[in-house]
Amino acid sequence: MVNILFIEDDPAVAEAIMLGLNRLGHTVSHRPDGNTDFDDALLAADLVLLDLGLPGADGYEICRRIRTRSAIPIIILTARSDDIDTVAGLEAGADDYVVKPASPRVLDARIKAVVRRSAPTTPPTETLPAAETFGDLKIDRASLKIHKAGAQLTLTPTEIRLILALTQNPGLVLSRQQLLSAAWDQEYLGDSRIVDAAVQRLRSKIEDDPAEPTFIETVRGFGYRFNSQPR
Amino acid sequence: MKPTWLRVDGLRTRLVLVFIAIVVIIAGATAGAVSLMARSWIYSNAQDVATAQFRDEVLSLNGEHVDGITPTSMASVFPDDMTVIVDGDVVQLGSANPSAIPPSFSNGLVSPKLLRFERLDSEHIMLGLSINLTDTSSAPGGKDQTLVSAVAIRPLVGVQDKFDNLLGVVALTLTLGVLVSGLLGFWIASTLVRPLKRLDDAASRAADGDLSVRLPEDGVAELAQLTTTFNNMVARNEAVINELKESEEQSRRFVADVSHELRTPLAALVPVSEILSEEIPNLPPDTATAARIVSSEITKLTRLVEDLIEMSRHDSQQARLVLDNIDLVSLTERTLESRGWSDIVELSAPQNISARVDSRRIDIVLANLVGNALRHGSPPVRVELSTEPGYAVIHVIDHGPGISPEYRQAIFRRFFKVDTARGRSEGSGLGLSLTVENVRLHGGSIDVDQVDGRTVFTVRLPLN
Repeated sequence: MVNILFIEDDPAVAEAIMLGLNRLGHTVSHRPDGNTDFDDALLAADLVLLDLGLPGADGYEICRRIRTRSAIPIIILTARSDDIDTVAGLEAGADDYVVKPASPRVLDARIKAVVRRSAPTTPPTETLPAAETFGDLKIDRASLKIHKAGAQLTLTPTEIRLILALTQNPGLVLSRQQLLSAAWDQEYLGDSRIVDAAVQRLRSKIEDDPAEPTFIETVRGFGYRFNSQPR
Repeated sequence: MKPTWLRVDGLRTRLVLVFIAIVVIIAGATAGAVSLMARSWIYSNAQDVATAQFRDEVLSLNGEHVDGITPTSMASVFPDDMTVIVDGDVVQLGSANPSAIPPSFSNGLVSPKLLRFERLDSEHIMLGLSINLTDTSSAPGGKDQTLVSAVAIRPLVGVQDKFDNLLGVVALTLTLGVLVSGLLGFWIASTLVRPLKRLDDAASRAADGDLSVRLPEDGVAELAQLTTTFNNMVARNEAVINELKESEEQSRRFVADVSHELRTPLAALVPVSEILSEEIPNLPPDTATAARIVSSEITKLTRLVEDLIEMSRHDSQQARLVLDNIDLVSLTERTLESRGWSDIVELSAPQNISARVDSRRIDIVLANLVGNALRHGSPPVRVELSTEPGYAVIHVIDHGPGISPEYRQAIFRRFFKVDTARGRSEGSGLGLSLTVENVRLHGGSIDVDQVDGRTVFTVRLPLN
């Protein structure tokens, strides 16, 4: 059972989806617009299900606002299916992007996958090295804490998984498909853009200048490479 | 590639060569004519000097008294280089060998004080003159005046040096002329070529998509018409492209709006239909039938809407490829697995086939073809992956009744259904059209054929 905060302005859609999710055992609280202050609701929720076209604040804006204060998993559920919307949604900080109409069972599977990915991984401690340092970046695999220049970074679970996957093989080029398998534990058919969006977000947090990245290099036509000795 | 100014077929190079050729022809001809005249003048001058000197030397001896016309007496009177002849007898041998003196020359020496000369080669001249000498040894009353001929071969002094100097000056002037004309030609050619270069730059920028580029209309008069035509062409292109962009943007907005408006009610209907189908066993028979119909029609409507939206995206050029290096074998396995077809579809493939494709679209292609084979064909359904030079090949094979040859191309048309008896019960009739669109978007091809009682759909995708 997952506590879901569902932000959707269309009452019929909201009611139908809540009905479906409730029957699958989830608890859903509903907000009809983006004007509400989410503090209490966020504290109670395990996941945010977010529509894009909302009165008041637009869905991307809400996504960014939530991201400034919380690493809670966010799934965008929208009728917009353009590639540009998908990329913008993922870059705004969403963990998944589902296009309407979606069957409650499919939605349930996506919700469970995102929540599962967000749960802290507890790999056997004996295999973990001590905190690794790359330039001014410090990565502690045991505590899942990432520091840059001494300050702890607030990363979403997806971003943490992504940086762990990248730094596990410094200097090695990882394809988008490899990163999908490593950082997203379900097969996302076709959504290699989700990797690009997550890398963009990660760069905005770990790079000095995200426009001129030194840690995560793009290898055109192949994927990404983590540079352990940045310039 | 050589720079333009180095290429022989370049306008600038041609102009420079023409300039040099003109200078070489005119200056060469002038220098040739002047040299010939100067050469003649140098010879005449040298000849005049030689003849005047010879005449002076010989005439100063005219009437001289000698003691007998003998070699001994002549030695003190005539210079050594003169051959002295009296009545055909050589009394002194000088520079002219008597046997080499042509008869026409010696025959002309019959009159006293009449100078004869003949040019032998470019540097020597033969001179001859007869004078009267008084022989003091002859008997009284005898002949005291004797006609004595003096012949000498003298050099034409300084002729070759002067001529060499003249040629040197001509060659130097010609070389300088060629250099100056080359530079002048280069400068003039550059001036002439500059407007063409500007036109070339502007055309390149326009070809690269810079439609704001225009040429100044107050340039070279001869290019005014071309400039105006070019500017009009770019302006027209700019207008057409702007219209296309606007139309594309409108199409994009239309597709997005239609997609949003159609999907929103479906977003409410789909969860409800799922709940209804789950409740069917608990409903009274009539209500259960109604619920079943509603649920199945919503499923079909959802698929139709998805297909129509996808098709309109292709039609409005909004369909974009998200390319990645994908292993087609794993992709096919995932496609079969995610749709629950792994157990009913055979897969024959090598270890892996790496291709640069949009995996979402290839998943749709595979799902449509396999779904079609499962719905309309007969088992066993088989997917075979292989490669041929430059292409990945996907065969989807079933053992159904097949498709009559007349329908083989038509089945790829929108809303076309082979089996009219199937009515509207299966699919939207858009699946294969979308498959074709997605394959084409990758630059690939799709065919259908009947082989040994099997229906074979073949998709070829470029590997890179």
